[in-house]
This record gives sequence, structure tokens and C-alpha cells, in this order.
Amino acid sequence: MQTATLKKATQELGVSPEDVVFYNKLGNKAFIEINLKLPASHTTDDTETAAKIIENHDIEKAVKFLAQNNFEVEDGLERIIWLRHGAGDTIRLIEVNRNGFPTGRVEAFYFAPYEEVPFETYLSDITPKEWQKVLSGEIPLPDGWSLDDSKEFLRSDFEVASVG
Amino acid sequence: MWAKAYLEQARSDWQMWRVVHDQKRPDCHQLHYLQMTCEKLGKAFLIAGRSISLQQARNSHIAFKRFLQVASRNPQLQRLLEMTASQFHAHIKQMLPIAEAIERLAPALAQDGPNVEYPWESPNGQIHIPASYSFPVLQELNEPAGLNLIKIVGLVQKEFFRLFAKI
Repeated sequence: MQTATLKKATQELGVSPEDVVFYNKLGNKAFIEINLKLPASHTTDDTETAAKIIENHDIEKAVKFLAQNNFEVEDGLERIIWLRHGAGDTIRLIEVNRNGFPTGRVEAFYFAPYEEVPFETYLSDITPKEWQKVLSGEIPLPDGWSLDDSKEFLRSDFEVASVG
Repeated sequence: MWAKAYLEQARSDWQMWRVVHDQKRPDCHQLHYLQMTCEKLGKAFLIAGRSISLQQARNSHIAFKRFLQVASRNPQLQRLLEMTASQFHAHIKQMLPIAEAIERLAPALAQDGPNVEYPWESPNGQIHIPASYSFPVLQELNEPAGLNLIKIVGLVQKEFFRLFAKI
């Protein structure tokens, strides 16, 4: 599966999987990242690792697209937490929104994949007070969700043109 | 499965809304069907989100308005309406108060105030009957924000399985 992902990614970029491992002057950030992480004498396992890195790179790109978009349109958003642990190929986001409607729970809505975000996305909108309660454990996360290995995006991480 | 069941009931309520609205039946009956459409749609979206139990979804409130608020950041829905991101967000934002007002017409949320099912008493002691009460929100549905809300209620039903639920 991961090899297939690598093959697809490299085909789209017009290079072979071997190129991904050995060439370090391709001018593509994903490939540079791969080269930084792979040992000089690679094995099949390293190729699998490369596939995983490409996969992660793609999902991270999609999450960043979402974060940029959402910070731009919703001026009440304070932070976006990307919950990666156990999420596989799905995106789980908690968006902390001053304009949110408090429910006392982390309730997510599903959005199907599309061109810029080719991953299933589960998005929950909570208030800053609810976020504090999530951090203190007073509000539990949905089954299977975890803050372990989560990544936080702040408005200041993006160049956001406020739409008011 | 449950999401589909709630969607189907919402669609049936929606059809009844269209009938009683077109026939200009009393405000309470028009709004009752629209309120039930929104309530069941909101629960369908929550169930599709798979983050809470069915019981929690059943007991949830104002879910449709909350769905709209989150969906206002969804580029796919935005493109369907052929708007820019900022236009789409503003478009949704203007209809949120009406969406909430409609959802609050359910007796459970009306707090002994105006609702579409049971008589209530106003602070001055006057007793109101839904069947003869003129609900201001019905007028708002004839204004641009209200008409846009009606349009999107229909659209999200149509696009439910393509955009908002995993088949």
C-alpha cells in the first residue's frame, strides 16, 4: 500500500522511487525531507519509509490548506489542533473558535475528500473554555481520538487576510 | 445507517414544509415542519461525524446551526454555490441567527416561550396559541437571508452522501 503510494507520487512528479531515495537536488521539499531522513544505504524498508513520508507530507499539506482557509474565513478561530495519533489517512481537527456554540462535548462533522484535501476530514468546533476543559480532561475526546502527537496551528503561523 | 434514517425523516419533513408553506397554512405548521427538518438534518450530520453516541446525537440541540457554522469553511460547498470563500462565509453567517431561531421553536428549547406546538403564557399574563400566533421568523424567511437558508437546507439534503457522510 505504501509502496503504491510512493509509486503514484513519484509518477506524478516524473521520477522513479529510486530517485526519491538517492537524488538530493530535485528541488522538491518532500524529496529533500526524504533524503534527510533516509540512510545512504537504503533497503526496501527505507522505500516503505519514503512512501510513508510522502503520505505524511501530503496529509500535512492538506491540513495546512484547511488551516489557512479556515483561519482566513473564520475570524473567531484561535487555534487548530490536528490530532494525528491513530487517525490513519483521515484528518481530525479541533478548531477553537471564540464564535463557537458551546455544547460541552467534542462533536465532529464529516467532510468528504476533495481536490485540495483528498482525505476524509472530521472537524469539531469548540469554544476556548471547552478547549481548556479538554486539556484538563473534564471534556473527553471522542473514542479513538488522542492529543498524543497532535500538532497545533495558530493564526500567527499563517499569513491570513481577514475577511471580517 | 442511523444517519441515513435521520436524513430520510428530514426529507419527509421537508416535503411537508413545502406543502404547508405553498398552501400558506398557519405559521406554526409551516415552521414546525421546517424546525423538524433542521433538527433531524443536524442530528444526521452529527451521527455522520461519528464522534458521539447515537443517544448523545438524539439529545443534541442547535446541531443544524452548528453544522452550518462549520460548513461555512468547506470549499466544496462553497464551490457548489459558486462563491469565493469570503462571500460564502458571509452568506452562511447571515443566515445563522434565523437557523437558530427556527431550531429554538422546538418546545424543549423554547423555555416556555413561543414554540410551534403548545400554548404559552407571555410575561404580561397573555396566553398565546401557536395556531393563531404570528411568528416573526416566518417573515424573515421571505427576506434574502431567510431565502438563502431555505435554499441551503434543500442543497445539503441533496448533497448529504456526496459531501457530508461516508457511505
